[in-house]
Amino acid sequence: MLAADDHRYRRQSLFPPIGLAGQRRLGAATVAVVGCGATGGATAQLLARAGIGRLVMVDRDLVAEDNLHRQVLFNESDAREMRPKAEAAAAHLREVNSQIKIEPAVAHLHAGNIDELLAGTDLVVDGTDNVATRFLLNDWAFANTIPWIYVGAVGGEGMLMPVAPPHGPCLRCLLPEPPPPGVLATCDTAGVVGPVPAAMGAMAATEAIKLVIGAGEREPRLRSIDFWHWRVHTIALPVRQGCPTCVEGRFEFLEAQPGSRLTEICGRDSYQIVPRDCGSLDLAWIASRWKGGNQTRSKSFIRIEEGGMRLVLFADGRALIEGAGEAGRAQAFYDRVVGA
Amino acid sequence: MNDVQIRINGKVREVAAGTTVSALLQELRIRPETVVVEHNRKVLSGEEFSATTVADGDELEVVRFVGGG
Repeated sequence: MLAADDHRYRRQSLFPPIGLAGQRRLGAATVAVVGCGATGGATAQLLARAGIGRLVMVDRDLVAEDNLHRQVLFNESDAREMRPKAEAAAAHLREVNSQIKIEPAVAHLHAGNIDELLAGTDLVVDGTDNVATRFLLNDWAFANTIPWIYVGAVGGEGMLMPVAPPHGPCLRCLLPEPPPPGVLATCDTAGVVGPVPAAMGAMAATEAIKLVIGAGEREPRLRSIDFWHWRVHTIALPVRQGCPTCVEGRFEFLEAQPGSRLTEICGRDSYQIVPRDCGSLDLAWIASRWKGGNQTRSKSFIRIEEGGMRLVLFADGRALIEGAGEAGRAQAFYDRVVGA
Repeated sequence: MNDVQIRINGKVREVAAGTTVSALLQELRIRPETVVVEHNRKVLSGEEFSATTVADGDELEVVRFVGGG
């Protein structure tokens, strides 16, 4: 399907460290980008252009208007129609490169579905906006000996570290435990300068290309970049003594039972609910019995609006709730719709 | 107690002699579990924060974990 000497990749394979051999390796590789927002969208776009043969794109969220200043894969109609980000991103990237396989998954990545969603990947790039998913990715990477690249961006700063199992350091050498809610700055509390996550996504794509062709750093470094004040810092992070993941090989986040969880989503007044029992819901039945508020349906979700709140329910029971103001109100709305 | 002059992330700052890295982070209102601290280019483990005192001319780099994306 993919000829490495294809004219479209000529300027890339001309770069001696890549060459035709490197370009062929890119074409044979599968890379998963988890989170297709600001950093992940930029990464995915550049990897599609670079000729990664199979691109898996996982995202749980819908496009919103306040994403548009930084999330380069989406346009105003995506936000108006509240399209699932993974699907909108895939549609956009299929126009960028029709020669590669692009596989979107509209899903919340959790311990119960990660093996299936990331099956066959050679590398995972972090485009997430939360610590919980990163701890899960870190565990999964060591359990399966697959490299991943941690990428973060908030305010005017970014941070990046390739993680290369079976060797540490890993994410938990940097951050031993997930901090309690409210401790880390988020795009909601600190804002984010639009180009910063895009720049971090571009750096992650460059690292991804290096890792796929076997040109990654022998000892991966942590890089911290303050774009606003132009401070770039490289740290040779030591393996933390007794690190549960990369030293002891205990994968507590991978082995966790997925419970019903309500989380706040970075970037807007939005909550996500993931039910404990992730069976399949009959969306048509739920839609037919709902007598309150306006509802609209698409093939993958139903949307219900009531009293300034908007709930989008997917067939796996997951829901996104906007405009609730606080968690309890979001949960109550969900329970009324689903009948929990 | 005398003040000593150190650099934190490139900026000069005066602190009391004998100040520990823990006390400094507290003064800066930074949660220690969310940062990596380099003391004169050497990465400190979390346990070393309270055992390490800063001296005149020291360079500290405090790198906060970045969670968004």
